[in-house]
Amino acid sequence: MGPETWGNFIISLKIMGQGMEGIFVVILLITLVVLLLGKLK
Amino acid sequence: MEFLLDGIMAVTGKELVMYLVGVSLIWLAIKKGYEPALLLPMGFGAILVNLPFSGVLDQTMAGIGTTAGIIQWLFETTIAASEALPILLFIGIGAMIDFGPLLAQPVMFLFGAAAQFGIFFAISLATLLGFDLKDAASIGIIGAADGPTSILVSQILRSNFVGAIAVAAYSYMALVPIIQPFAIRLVTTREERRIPMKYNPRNVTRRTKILFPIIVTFIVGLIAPASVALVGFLMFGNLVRESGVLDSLLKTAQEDLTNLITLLLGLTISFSMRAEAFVRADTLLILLIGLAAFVFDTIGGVVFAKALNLILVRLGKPRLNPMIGAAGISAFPMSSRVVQKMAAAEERGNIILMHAVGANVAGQIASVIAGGLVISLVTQYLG
Repeated sequence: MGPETWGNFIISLKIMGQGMEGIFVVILLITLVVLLLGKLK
Repeated sequence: MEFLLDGIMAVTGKELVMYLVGVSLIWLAIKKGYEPALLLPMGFGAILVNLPFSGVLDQTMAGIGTTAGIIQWLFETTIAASEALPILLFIGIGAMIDFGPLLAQPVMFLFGAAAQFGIFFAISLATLLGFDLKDAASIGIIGAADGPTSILVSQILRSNFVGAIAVAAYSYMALVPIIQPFAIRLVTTREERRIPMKYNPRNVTRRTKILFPIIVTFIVGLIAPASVALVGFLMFGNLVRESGVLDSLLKTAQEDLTNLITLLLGLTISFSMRAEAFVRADTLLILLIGLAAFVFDTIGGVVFAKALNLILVRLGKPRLNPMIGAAGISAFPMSSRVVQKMAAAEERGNIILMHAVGANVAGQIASVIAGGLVISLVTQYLG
């Protein structure tokens, strides 16, 4: 495996971490807002 | 008479392969019923763009100069220059989605997030196999299980493999009933697949249904602005649906707009299926990585549900059937149907369909958010 491939792989792992974190943050926020909407009378 | 043979004599081996690919896609669409609305136009388009001196592509003619080809023009105008076709299709998709089952059980949102894992797994796999970052990200997005998102992201990232990515995305969506049961069985026991779930939906008011698309647009727009084109048009279509005052526009979005774009999208995307771009070893690798993306989407959702079960057991609450995690992909409604079918096969009368539908609808939102995040993150690292 060349240094460029290895470098891209390391970046892809960072993207995996940040991407999954980002999706969960956005989805959790939406979930919380939906739960709050349900409480509003 | 010789000029009549010019076309026949100019056919190359790679073009012959593409005729086979085109006929295979048409066969899959007609005989097997696999995503016929997309695979049939793509298959026919693959033949059109690979005929020598094809008039659907720009050609240079002696004494005249360049003549415009309709498929090349459609691609350059509605996909390469603006990504208009896949984005506009989201209005129709939004107009067709009922978020009710998801709003009635908001916890299902989480499975939509977890089941995007395959995208990122596939990006890493693609980099390991030697693809550069933008191509790896474009290939990984096949795991969004969402054709328009795959086309959009790969086009924005200027991937060299838009055609193969589109073919993989739509083919695997059609193969969800085969891929998902295999992946689910890999990570669940029979006992887990038999777990029953009670359905206790919350009451969802009309106000909630109307506010939902507006709020989602704000949240996603402010946190992941690259997703706005996708999420915004999806949510606009949904607002038209839920507003209750745009019946005529709603019908147009659900039927005419969606059908028109679908008709053109398959033909247009076939521009990227020209032999010189498609017939290469990389295409086979992309199809394999795309398959891995679907498998690991499913595994990601199921394993997340199993992890939640560990917490639920500690809290003394009933466990979830981990298969609903698999329904968190965007392929709607195939994925929820598959999960329900498996649950009923393992335990007669076990109905988890509404939970699965909730997760499945969540997957449609999560996949477009994932698409935007991938664009943001990749461009950040490329810069």
